[in-house]
Amino acid sequence: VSERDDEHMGWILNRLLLRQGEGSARNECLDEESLAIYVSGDLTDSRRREIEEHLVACTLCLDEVAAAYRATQPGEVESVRERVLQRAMALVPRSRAESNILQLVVQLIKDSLDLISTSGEFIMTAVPAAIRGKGKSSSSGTVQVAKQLGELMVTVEVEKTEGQFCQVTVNVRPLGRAFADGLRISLLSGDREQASYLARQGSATFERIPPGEYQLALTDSGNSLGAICLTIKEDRRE
Amino acid sequence: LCNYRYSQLILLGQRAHDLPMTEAEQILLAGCIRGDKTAWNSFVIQYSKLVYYTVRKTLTLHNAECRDELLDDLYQELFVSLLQNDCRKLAQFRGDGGCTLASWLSVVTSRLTIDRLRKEKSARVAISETLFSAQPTDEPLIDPDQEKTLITALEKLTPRERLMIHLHFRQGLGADEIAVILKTSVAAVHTQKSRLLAKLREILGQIPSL
Repeated sequence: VSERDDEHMGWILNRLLLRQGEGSARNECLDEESLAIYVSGDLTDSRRREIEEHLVACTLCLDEVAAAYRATQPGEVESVRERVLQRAMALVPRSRAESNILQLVVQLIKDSLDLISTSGEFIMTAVPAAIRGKGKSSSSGTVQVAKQLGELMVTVEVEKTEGQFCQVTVNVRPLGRAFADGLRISLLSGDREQASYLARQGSATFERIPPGEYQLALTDSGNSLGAICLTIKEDRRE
Repeated sequence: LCNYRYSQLILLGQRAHDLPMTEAEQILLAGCIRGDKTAWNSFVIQYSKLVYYTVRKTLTLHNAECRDELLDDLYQELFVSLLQNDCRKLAQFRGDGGCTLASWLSVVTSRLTIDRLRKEKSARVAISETLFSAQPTDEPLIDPDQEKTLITALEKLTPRERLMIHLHFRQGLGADEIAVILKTSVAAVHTQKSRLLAKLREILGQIPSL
């Protein structure tokens, strides 16, 4: 068999295989990490066979494996322009911790309650009033805000009751999976836990809360799902 | 401590991604997911060349023009995609089974590039279909019956044999590279390749030279 025959056969195979890959659907592609493990990690023989069976049927995944193999080999030098590098560095990762916190500051004023600021959405419950500070303001006796914390939709209602006390109601609705052991809502002041409820219906009410700084921790089986930082400012005009 | 580790990673430079450094990767990723700007900058510096190279290689494999504008665009899109939805993509990386962050990032980058090309291609096809009633078809490589026979013959090979054929003739990888991927020896790849070509030729009969 001549070298030319092999070359000819190779050319035909190349064209045929490239043509076969066109129009492939990305239906059952393997996840990226499985392909990356195939390139650089350790697999059991059976898992390796499974992936190889997929690769011969899916040119999309096969192309990705080949690209990953080539890219992780030493000796290849690629220069990235400074401007492009700076642009990517300018992207700021949003803090996951911050995104899982609902901030809420209210102030007691006579018989009403003012919303000073919040990182959530203000829900109009009564007569709207003037805006104060960063957030919208409510001059009714109740302030209600809502925010999505991870996979939870959280609504907090602060209501002025008698004297300088408030009642705080937290409603939590899961957007994804249900709670494993039930949602626990705990009210903390400083390092001390003031009250804690296993909120089977996703709701808990804390009564007779005086002005101060609080944290409402939302947990499921001991895992933190998010937190509400609540500040109630006292009415200094009384 | 974290800043010290990031500095170490930067000092390792472009070869850092070749090293097994799972612990360092974990620290770096955790920092990025936490929203630590220093960690993010280190991550970008460390993996930029890898991302750029993967985009270029994937474009070349798919016969796409490697325009600087497209390269830059895909490079930026990759980093944006890692940060979207509270770093959901970055958080997906587990590093199981000895998988390196570099190989995972290469696969993610390659997938992003391929999907962009597919999207652009389908848009082009949609436009051309509206402009032209008849599409020119590809020239046949060989006699249609022989082509059918060849496809059937390929389908009858074992998955590993077909994979070898794909890696060599579709991806253009050498025997030494295929040996690393298939976890076998270079000699075994050479032997298998000769045997497979002989087998295909036998099935196909004599192909007239072009």
